[in-house]
Order: sequence, then structure tokens, then C-alpha cells
Amino acid sequence: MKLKNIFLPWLLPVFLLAVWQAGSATGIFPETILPSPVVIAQTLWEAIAGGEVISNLAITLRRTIIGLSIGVSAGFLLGILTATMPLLDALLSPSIIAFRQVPMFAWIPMIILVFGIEEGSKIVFISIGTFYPMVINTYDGIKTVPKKYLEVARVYEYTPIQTFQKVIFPSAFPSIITGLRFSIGMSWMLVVGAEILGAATGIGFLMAWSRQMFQLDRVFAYVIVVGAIGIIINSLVTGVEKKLLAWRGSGDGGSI
Amino acid sequence: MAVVFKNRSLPKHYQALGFVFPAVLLIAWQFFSYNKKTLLGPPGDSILALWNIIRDGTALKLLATSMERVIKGFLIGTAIGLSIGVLMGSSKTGEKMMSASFHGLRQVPMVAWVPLIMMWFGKAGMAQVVFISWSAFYPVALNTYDGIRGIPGKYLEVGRVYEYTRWQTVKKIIIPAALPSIKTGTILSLNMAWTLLVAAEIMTSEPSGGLGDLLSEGRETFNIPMLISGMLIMGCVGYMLNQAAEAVWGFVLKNRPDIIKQGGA
Repeated sequence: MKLKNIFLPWLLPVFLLAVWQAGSATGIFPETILPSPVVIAQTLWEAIAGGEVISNLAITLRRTIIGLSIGVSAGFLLGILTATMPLLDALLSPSIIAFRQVPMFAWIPMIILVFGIEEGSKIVFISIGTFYPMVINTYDGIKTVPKKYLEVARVYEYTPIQTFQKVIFPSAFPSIITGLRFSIGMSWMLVVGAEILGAATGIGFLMAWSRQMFQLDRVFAYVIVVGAIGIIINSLVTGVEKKLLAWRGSGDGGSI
Repeated sequence: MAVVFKNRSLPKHYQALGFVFPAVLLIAWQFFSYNKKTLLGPPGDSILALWNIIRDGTALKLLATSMERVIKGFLIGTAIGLSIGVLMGSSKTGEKMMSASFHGLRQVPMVAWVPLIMMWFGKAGMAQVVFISWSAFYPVALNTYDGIRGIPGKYLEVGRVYEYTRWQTVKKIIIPAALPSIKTGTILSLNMAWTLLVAAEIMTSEPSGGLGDLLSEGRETFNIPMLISGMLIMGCVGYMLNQAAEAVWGFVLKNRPDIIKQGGA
């Protein structure tokens, strides 16, 4: 039974890879349409050893981090402001919701026209995309602070600043972290998409370029790289989230 | 800050304030494009461009093509997602077999598949449908799986009392009880499909025949009014799709089988 548990998850991938390799070796899958796993692995290794992956990945990650920082801080600030000031809420929230209806990638042509094809446009795009999850979750987190907590604050005669520091922020914290997690997850998809759509550097550009050169083995190798970075980002974020939220017991009326 | 939470909701008529910001934006836009010739042009240009493509039927034709792709892709993706979700949720062996591959592949951002899918399935039409199916598949599969895992044991006991077969249990208990999660999954995947359709349509090097053309053509010819009208149409249609999905689900959930409703799910 134990052995079966270890064995089963590998069954499907190994089976598929075996079929794939066999199909490529016998020529059922032509090299130009589906390169064999072995060829892809070699290409991947050469691409990493040759340094092109690392240097382009560094450019991509730099864009991601800058865009993410801008989008997340703006979303966080605006989320707090709109959630705590009813007037600002009435002024801005409808516009935020309306702008959000435009699909993210539809902004790209416009952004490229306005900000050019290089760094600026990527960073603006990632900032806009990561802004939404953050602003919405911060807003929701603050709006759903249980009334009884606020009553406690009133009993203690906290000033508004103290109320925010000691009651509102801690109570909204899990929701804010959720927003951050969404934003981070999204940023990786956005940067790769933006680079595929128009860039001269970065891992997404390598993919688009290899496609135009009909080098499918390279496209595959880059898909693996992008996926691996996705896994790393995801597990880092999940790990940090668990640590940060470890203090939460169960049944605390939290807002996740 | 002094009014924090004291009056959570402003009087009803304050909702009109929502129009202030867009109005200011429009006025600023008009003002800045008044006497110098900019790429952007005054707001009137964009509205005129929108009106023109609606009047001569271009908008409708592009929209029809895009919609056809979204609906086809969404239906295929949802069907496969439901089956995989049910399989993973209701069979231990199925779960163990699929979950590593499932979660592993999920880590690759959807858009990263576009170059591959475009090489395999040609440039226009087919590639978009395949891509949308692929992206609609994950939210449905994931939420179906979660929904089934969360079904209270007592529902399954009812099935045992009625001596349901495996298939009957799936049809009469598991799927109806997991419906709220499935709803979440399909709405997410519809949003995803609409968002990524745009990506798939502007990533082709030739016109794709869908709404994405307004964006790529607008960009290539520096025709910002055309670009903006494309974005407006996409925003409105996306919103309506979402509303339509909510309405359909409202109806479906109201008509769930009685066992589940009485269970208080």
C-alpha cells in the first residue's frame, strides 16, 4: 500500500514521457512538430549552460519585482483609503470596478504605444495588473472587520490611528496577504505574457522569438523554465503566508 | 479618518459621486487634446470610432468570431475540467494518479503555452479555441475537486441508504452538492477565457478575425481611437458575460435536487 502511494503519482508522467519518446524515436511525431523529451532536455541544458536563460531571466525578474512593488503599494494604499473614507470610496470605487472590466492583456497595445516597447511599458503593465487583486482584497478585508472588534476599540477609547493599528489592520491582515499572494501569482503570468507580446529581452521574448524561428525544442525548454520559476515563486509565497498567518487560531472570525 | 466606520454608508444620492472621477478624466482628456494634435485625439474621436464600427457592422462581425471561440473553448474546457475534477475528487486512486501531473502543469502560466499552441494548431481560429479550452479547464477542475472533497459525509450516507450505484451517487449527490464550487470554477474560467482570448488574438502575427484585431491594428497604425473602442467593447462584453453566467447559475442553484437543499448546504 505504501509503495503504491509513492508509485502512483509518477505513473502518468512517466507513461506519457515514454509514449512521447517512443513516438519521437520511431518518427510518428515529427521533430518539427514535437521534439523528443531527450532533445528538449539537451536544449534546456545548453540554454542554461550558455547563460542566455539566466541573463534573460534576470531581466524578467527585475521587471516583475519593480512592477509588483509599484502595483502592490498603490493597491494597498488605495485599498486602505477607500475602505476607511466613505467619500473617497464613493468617488473612486466605481471607476476602479469599471476599469477592471477591461481584460488585462487588452491594455498591452495601448501601453506599448504610450510607453514604448522596453522597460517602461512592462513595468506599467505589471503594476496595473497587480494593483487590482491588492486593492480589492485590502478593501474587502477592512470592510469586513467584525463590528464587535470596533466596539472594543471604542471601549478602550482608541484614537482612529490606534484603531487602525491595533484593530483594523490585524483583522484585515489575512485578506491583505491573500491579495498579495494573488498579485504575486499574477505578476509572473503578466510579465511572461507582456514579453511574448512585445519585447526585445526577457524569457517571454525568447519564447516568442524561438517560435518565429520554428525552434520548438527551445520553446519547450523555456516553457519548462517558466514553469519551474512559477513553482518556486508559488512555494515561497505559500511558505511565507503560512508563517505569517500561523498566529491565527481557528474560529477567530477572520475573513478568509 | 475621524469618520472611520461611524457611518459606513453614505446617503443613497452620494452614489452619483462615482461619475465625478470619470467626468474629470474626460474633461482633462478633452482639454489636453484641444489645441495640439496628439496621438490620443479628443474623446470625441474615440466615441466616433466606436460608433462607426458599430454602425457598419464591423464590431458585430469581430465580436461574433470572438464569442464563438470563447463559447467553444469554454464548453470544451469546462467539460474536460468537470470530468477530471470529479475523477480526482471521488476516486482516491484517480487523485493520486493525476494530482502530481495536474499541479505540476498548472505552474506554467497560461500565456506561456501560446507559442506552442500556435505552432501546433495554426494561426487563426483553432489555436484560440484550444488555448481557451486549456485555460478554462483548470479553474473548473480545481474547484470541482475542492467542492467534492468538501461534501459532508452524511450526504454520502444517504446515497448508501438508497443503495445508489457509483454513477447514481455521482449524478444525484456528488455533483449537486458540489455545485456552488463548480459555479465558482466556471465563473472564474469564463473570466479567464475572456481575458486570455484577447491575449491569444493579439499574439498572432496575422489578423485573427476577432476583437483582438481592433487592438493589434490600432497599435500598428497608431490609431488610438480604434484601440480604445476595442477596449471599451471588450470591457462591456466581459461584464455582460459575467452577469449572464451569474444569472444562469442563480437559476441552476435554485433548482437543485431536494436532498441537498434540505441538508442545508
